[in-house]
Amino acid sequence: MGTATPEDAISGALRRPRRPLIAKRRHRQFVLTYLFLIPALSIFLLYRLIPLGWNFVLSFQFWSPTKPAEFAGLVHYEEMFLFDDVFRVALKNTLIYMLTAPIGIAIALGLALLVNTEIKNRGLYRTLIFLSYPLMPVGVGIIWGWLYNEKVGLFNFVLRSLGIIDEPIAFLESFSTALAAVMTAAIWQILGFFMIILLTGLQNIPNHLYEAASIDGANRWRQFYRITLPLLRPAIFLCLIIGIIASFTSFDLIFVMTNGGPGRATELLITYIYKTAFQLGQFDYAGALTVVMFLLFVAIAALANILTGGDAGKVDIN
Amino acid sequence: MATVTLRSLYKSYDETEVVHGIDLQVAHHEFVVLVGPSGCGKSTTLRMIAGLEDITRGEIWIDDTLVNELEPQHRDIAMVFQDYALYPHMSVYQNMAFSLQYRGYDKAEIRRRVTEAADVLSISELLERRPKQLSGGQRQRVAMGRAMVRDPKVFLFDEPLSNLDAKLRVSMRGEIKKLHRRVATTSIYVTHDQVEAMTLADRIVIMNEGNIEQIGAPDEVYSKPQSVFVAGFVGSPTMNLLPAELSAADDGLIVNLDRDIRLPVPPAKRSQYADFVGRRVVFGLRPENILWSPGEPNDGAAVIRRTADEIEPLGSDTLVFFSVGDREVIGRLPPNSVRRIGETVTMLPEMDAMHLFDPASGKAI
Amino acid sequence: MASRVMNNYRHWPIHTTLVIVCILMLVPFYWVIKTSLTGENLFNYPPSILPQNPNPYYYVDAWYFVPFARFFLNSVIVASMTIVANLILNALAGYALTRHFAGKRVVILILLSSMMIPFQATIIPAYLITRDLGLLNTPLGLALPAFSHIVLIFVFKASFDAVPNSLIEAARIDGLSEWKIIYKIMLPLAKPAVATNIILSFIWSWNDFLWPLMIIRDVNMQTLPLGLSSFQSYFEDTTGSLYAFSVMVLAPGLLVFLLAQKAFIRGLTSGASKG
Repeated sequence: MGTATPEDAISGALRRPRRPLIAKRRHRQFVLTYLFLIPALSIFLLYRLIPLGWNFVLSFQFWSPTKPAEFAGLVHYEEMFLFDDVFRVALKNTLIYMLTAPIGIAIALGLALLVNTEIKNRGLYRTLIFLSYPLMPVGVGIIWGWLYNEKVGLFNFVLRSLGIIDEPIAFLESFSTALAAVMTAAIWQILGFFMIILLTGLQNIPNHLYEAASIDGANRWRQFYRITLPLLRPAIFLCLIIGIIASFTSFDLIFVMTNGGPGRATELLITYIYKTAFQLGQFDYAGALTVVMFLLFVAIAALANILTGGDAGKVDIN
Repeated sequence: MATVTLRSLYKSYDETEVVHGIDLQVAHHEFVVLVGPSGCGKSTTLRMIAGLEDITRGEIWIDDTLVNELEPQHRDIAMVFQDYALYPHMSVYQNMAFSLQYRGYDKAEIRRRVTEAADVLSISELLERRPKQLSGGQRQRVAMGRAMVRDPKVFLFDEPLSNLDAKLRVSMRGEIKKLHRRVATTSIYVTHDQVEAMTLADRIVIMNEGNIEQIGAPDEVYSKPQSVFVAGFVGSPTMNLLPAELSAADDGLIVNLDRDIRLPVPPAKRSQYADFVGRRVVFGLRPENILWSPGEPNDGAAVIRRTADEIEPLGSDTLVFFSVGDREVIGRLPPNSVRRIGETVTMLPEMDAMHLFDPASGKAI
Repeated sequence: MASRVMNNYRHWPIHTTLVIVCILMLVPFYWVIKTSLTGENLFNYPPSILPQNPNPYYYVDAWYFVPFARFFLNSVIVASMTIVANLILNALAGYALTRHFAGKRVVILILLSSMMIPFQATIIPAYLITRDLGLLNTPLGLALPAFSHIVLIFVFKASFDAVPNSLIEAARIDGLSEWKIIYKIMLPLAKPAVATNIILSFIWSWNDFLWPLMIIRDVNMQTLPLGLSSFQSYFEDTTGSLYAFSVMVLAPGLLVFLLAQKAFIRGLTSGASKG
C-alpha cells in the first residue's frame, strides 16, 4: 500500500472489485432478490397475513385490551349464531347489499356496449360516467344524504314536482327504503369502474370473431350470447370480485349516511364489527364476526369464480 | 496484456447440460470467433465469460484472475449485443458516456474518449440523437462505440451483425476488422454465419451441441476439417459428403462411390488411410475441388461423369448440381462450362484435396 | 357521405341514452356545487334549478369555521408518504419478480392470497399491531398499511417485463449495481407504470376513511375524509357551509384524477386485460 502510485490507486479503484460480502454470485443474486422483496412482503405480512391469523386466534379467546387472554372455545360463535339477532340482521343486509355488484355490472355492461360503438364523444361519455368512481366515498355518502333529505333533498323535490308522491319521503330514515337508498348510492359510485373494466374486456375481443359470426349468419343477439358474453367472462369475474369486496367493505357510505340505522335496517357486518370493537370494546367477539365475514367472502368469491367459468385462479407465474 | 482462458467449462439449466466442458485459450490481441448452429452453446459460453450466466462447473480466467464469482462490471469486459441494447431514454453521447460515469472518470476525460470513439466510428454528428432516430447501421456503430470508450481488456460480440441487411453486414464486417487492427483488443465474437467467422477471425472455434469440434485458423478449418460436422459447416457451398467404400487395388487405394465411380487415392495419403481399407467411410470433397474437363480425360485419371440436374450461374462460377447415388453433389465449374440441364458433364475431382471421415466417430481419418 | 349521414342517424338513440345517463351521473355534482354557491334550496321551496346570485359566502364561512388547511395538510402528508413508499417498495418488488429465483412460486402465492384478503377483514389485529408499534394518532400509522399495493407491484412487473433483457445486461456490464439499474434504467423506461403507481396510491390514501377513523383520536391529526364526516355531525343542521366544505374536500381528488385520467384507468384495467 505504501508505495502505491496514483495509477495503481486508480486502477485499483476501477478494476479491482471490492471484496464482496457474499462470495458466490448465485447466493449474492438470491439474497439481493429477497432484499428487494422483503420491504413489500413485510407490509403484507404485518397488515394482511399476521392479522388474519391473529384474528382467527382472537375469535377463540376472551380478550380485551385490559385483560389477559383466556381460551374461550366456541363461545363467541355460539353467541353469534344462537343469540345475536343483530348479527343475523347484519348478515342478511350484507347479502342483500351484495346485489349492488350484479345490478351494477348489468347496467355497466349496457353502458359499455353503448360506449364501445363507433360514436362521437365516446371519450367524453366515458369520463363523465367514470367521474363518480374516484370520488371520496365519505363525500358520496354526504352528497347522497343531502339528495335523499326529506326537506331539502333533490329527489323529494323532483318526485313531488312530477306528482309521483304527495308527501316527502324520508328515504334514509325509513325502514323500507334506507337500505335500497344506500345501495343506489353505492351503485352510482361504482358503475363507472365496472364500465371501464368491461369496456377493456370488450376491446380485447378480436373483431374478426364478429365478422366470422356474421358471415355464419349469427344475428346480433346470438353474437352477444355466443361471443361477447363468453369472452367477457374474465372481466365480469373481476367486476364481481371487486364488487363483492366493495359490498363487504362498504363502511364509509353506511357510516356517514345512516350509521346502520334506522334501528339496524342498514347494519352491515363491517359496520357491526367496527361498532363491536371500537365502540363496545369487545375485540374478541368482533374478531369472531370478522372470521365469519371473511369466510363468507371467500365462499362467495369462489362461487363467483365457478359461475363465471372457473379459470380465474390461473395466474401467469413468470 | 489480456488473455482469456476457459478450463473445462460446463453449463446446465436445471437438468439439461448445454455446454459440456469447454477448454479454450484466447491470446492477447487475438480475435477469436465462436461459430456454430443455433443451440450449439456459443452464446451461452460468451455470456458466461461476460458474467451474465452462472458457471455450472469449470473456470474462466481473464489474465491471471479467476472471474467465476466476479460480477460483470468487475471483469473489465465490454459487450456488443445483437439488439445493440442502447438505452432508449439517453442520447448517443449519454449512451457512450454512461459506463465511464460509473468508473470514476472526470468529465473532460469522458468527453475526450467519447468524441474520439465517435470520430473513429464516424458518428460524431449523431451524438445528440436518440437511438430511435438512428438507422440499424448507426445503432450498431454506437453499440461498438459504447464498448470502445471503456478500453476494456476484452471485447465480447454477441452476433452483432445479424440484425443488419446483407449489404450493411459486409461493410460493417470490414469495419470491425479494421477497428480490431487499430485497437487490437482481445476479442471474442459469436456468430452463426461461417462467412463472417472466416473473414473476421484470427482463430475460429467451431461448436456443435455444447462441444468444441475444432479450433484453428480460418484456412486450417477450411482445408483440414477434423470432423464431418466442421466439413459440412465451413465453406459455401459446403463440402460434398458421400458414403463410400475404401478398397485396395494393385497399385494403391480406391474410393468407390455409387456403383460406377472409382477414385484413386493420391500416393501421399495412402498410409494415412491404410487402417480403413475395406471399410465404409465418408468421402468429402469441396465443390471448388471438382474441375471441369473440356475434353476426354486421360485413362486412369479420377473421373466423375454425370448429367446436370440443376445449374446456378453465379457469374464468376457456375454451380452444377448432380447426383451420386441418392446424394446431391455440387461442383463449382467455370462459367458457361455447362449450358443445359440434362447435359452430361465430365468432371475431374482433385483428389489431393479429398477428405475421409470415420462414419462411426465423425472424425477425420 | 350518404353512409355517414346514415350512421349519424343510427347513432341517435345511443347518444340520447348516453346523454341521459351522463346527466343522471352528474346531477349530484351539480346540485352540491349549486347549493354551495347559493344555499337557496335550503330555505326556499321549490328550489330553483339554475343558480341565482352565486356567491362565495359559504366558502369563506367554511374556511373560517373548519380547520380546512390543517386537514388538507394532514392528508397531503399521509398521501406523500404513501406515494413515495409505494414507488420504492413496488418498484423493488416488481423488479425482483421479473427474475427467476428459488421460492418465486411461494412469493407469488403469498402476494395473490394477500390480494384476496380485504383490509377490512384484518382491522382489529391491524389496529392492535399499530397500537403496539406506538403509531396510533400518527401520519406514519395512517400510511403504513398502504405502503405497498399488490396490484401496483404487478403494474411495475408487467412494465419491467417489457424492457429487453439485453438492456439490463448492458447496464450490468456498464457497471451499474442492481439498485442503479432500477433507478437509472427501469424507472425511466416505465414512466406509465410510475404514473399509475402515483395516482392510484394517492387516490386510495386520499379517500381512505375507516382506517383513520380507527387510529386517529386527535382532531389535529384528522385527514380530510375524517374532517368531513366529523363536521357533518358537528353542524347543527344542513347549512351551505357544509356544502362548500364538501366541495373543497372533494375537488382536489377529482382534479388529480382528471389530470391523470389515463394513468388511473390504465392501473385499474391492468388486471382486466390480462384476464
